Amino acid sequence: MLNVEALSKSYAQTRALREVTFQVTSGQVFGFLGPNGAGKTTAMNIIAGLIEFDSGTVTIDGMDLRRNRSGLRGVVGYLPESPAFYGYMTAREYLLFIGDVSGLTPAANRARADELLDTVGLTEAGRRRIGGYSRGMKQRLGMAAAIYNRPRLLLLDEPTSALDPQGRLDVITLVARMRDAGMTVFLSTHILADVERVCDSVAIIKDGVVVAADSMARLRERYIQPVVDIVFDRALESVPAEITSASHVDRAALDGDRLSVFMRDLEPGKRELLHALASLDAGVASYSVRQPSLEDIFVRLVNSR
Amino acid sequence: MSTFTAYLKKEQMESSRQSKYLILGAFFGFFALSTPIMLKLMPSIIESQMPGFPKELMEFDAVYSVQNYIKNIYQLGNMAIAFVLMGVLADERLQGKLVYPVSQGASMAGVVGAKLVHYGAAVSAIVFAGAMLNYYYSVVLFPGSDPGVAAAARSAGLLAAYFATRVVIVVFASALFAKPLAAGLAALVASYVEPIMASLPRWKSIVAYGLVDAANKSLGTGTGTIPGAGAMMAAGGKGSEINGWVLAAALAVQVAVLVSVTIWRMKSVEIAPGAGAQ
Ligand SMILES: Nc1ncnc2c1ncn2[C@@H]1O[C@H](COP(=O)(O)OP(=O)(O)O)[C@@H](O)[C@H]1O
Ligand SMILES: [Mg+2]
Repeated sequence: MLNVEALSKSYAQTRALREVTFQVTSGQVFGFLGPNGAGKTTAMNIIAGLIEFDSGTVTIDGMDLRRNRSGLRGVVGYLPESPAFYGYMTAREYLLFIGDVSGLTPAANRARADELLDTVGLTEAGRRRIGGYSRGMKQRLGMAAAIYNRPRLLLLDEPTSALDPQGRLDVITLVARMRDAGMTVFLSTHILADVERVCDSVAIIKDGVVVAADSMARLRERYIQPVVDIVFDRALESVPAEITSASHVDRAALDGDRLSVFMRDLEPGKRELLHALASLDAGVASYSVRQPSLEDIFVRLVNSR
Repeated sequence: MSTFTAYLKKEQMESSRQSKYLILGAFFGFFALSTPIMLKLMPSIIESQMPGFPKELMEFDAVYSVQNYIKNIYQLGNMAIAFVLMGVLADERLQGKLVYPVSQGASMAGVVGAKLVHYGAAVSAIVFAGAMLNYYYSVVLFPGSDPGVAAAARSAGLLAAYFATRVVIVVFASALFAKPLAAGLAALVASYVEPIMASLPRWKSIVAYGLVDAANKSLGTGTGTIPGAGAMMAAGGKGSEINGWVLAAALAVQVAVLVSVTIWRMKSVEIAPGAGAQ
């Protein structure tokens, strides 16, 4: 659906993107995760066709962005970080304006506006002027405007950053509904919880460099090494050979009565480990599996640079 | 085309909800009324300040009154238009308001064209109405030498055409400068420099200020003197003649160039939010 290859973009002072590469498969929610200033908005603006880039290729639905500027309009919907509307219009008038721009017939336009106001929960507020809206309401109106022409690829730039927990949940729920409706969603954020809640795949970006890009499942597999923490009823002198020789154990670290066992593969490894423990002469006081979160991966990857 | 009609509608809504019509209408209307009244009161004011000033020098006729309005509104009207319209494109791109329309396929030519047509028409109508109002009050207050409705309408039309070209200048400046105030000031400087250019031989027929000059002349020659003023009218009354066809052609070329550059500029400039001043 979206193919970004070796994308680079520099501003006068900053190299905002350096050879950024990732692929977004059709029908998934792809998280673009990175701290502030990582280059997320820059990448979004490029993919939306709003700003130029220095080198690399961006392909959307098989069409090269550079060569198909006009053909791609309508394929891509974009919700900018802080969407700007005309404050003197009502939400309904604004959506009708967007429909006018895209050449909808008046009847189709009115039907679409009402349908989308309902989708984003602004039917009542839709008759009031946007100037008086909260951030969350503007964000939802922005979502309605972004999907007005039924884009196949939806770009959302930090759609939850400025919102309170309820507003955030509303947006995440909407995103999940967009995916269920068959849309491909490319979502940038610096909030891990959002990614964990809704994303199927993720690219982690730091200082304009993609440090990891994969499906959530594979990312967990690859970067999150499960650890089993064992506490014995007495201190041991050395790591028991029964444990280090187990085939699914990567390594083990001993600290007095505490042993951390780093597993290669958790599921078969767990059984094997329990057998090994049973054969020891030391009693086991506690046994727990530590499943690191995406936050651990994120912190590890971002700090390793 | 859908961009053009969508923006035409949007500009109408914006102008009425942000009282732009009202502000411009009140501005031109106020001076259309107050200028002849001030002129009427002038003799008694000067009398009280300088007793013994020869009264014969302060007898004005209707033509003089209308010409006096044209002179004043040329300066004041330029300011009003520059300040009301200076953000017409600058605000849109600075605040990221073009992001949605453009990412939905809006054409920049449509956006710019709609703004020009809308404000050009609105400003022309207001200027024309103001000038006719002024003509009416001038005739009421100053008996004698009525230029006639036809001449007054011709003059008002030329003045309206002049201010329509000011809309083009302000919109152009608004595309060029990121800061609205810079755009407004640049447009004002351009408009105030033109009379100097127009004073060069033959230049009067190729700069928009020639329209103001023609608006003046189409009324005939007024009589009346104000101490220290009237120099412009003296220059306008005599000297080189304006060739109407040459002026129309020259202005058409200038407008075409300015509009093309405006559209090109809006297409090449970054309209994404956060893409700062340059
Ligand atoms: N218009 C611009 N001019 C100059 N530098 C910019 C501009 N936009 C962004 N940058 C710089 O590029 C880097 C990436 O910015 P951005 O894409 O906004 O990051 P993010 O959205 O991840 O917070 C930052 O260092 C930022 O300061
Ligand atoms: Mg950003």
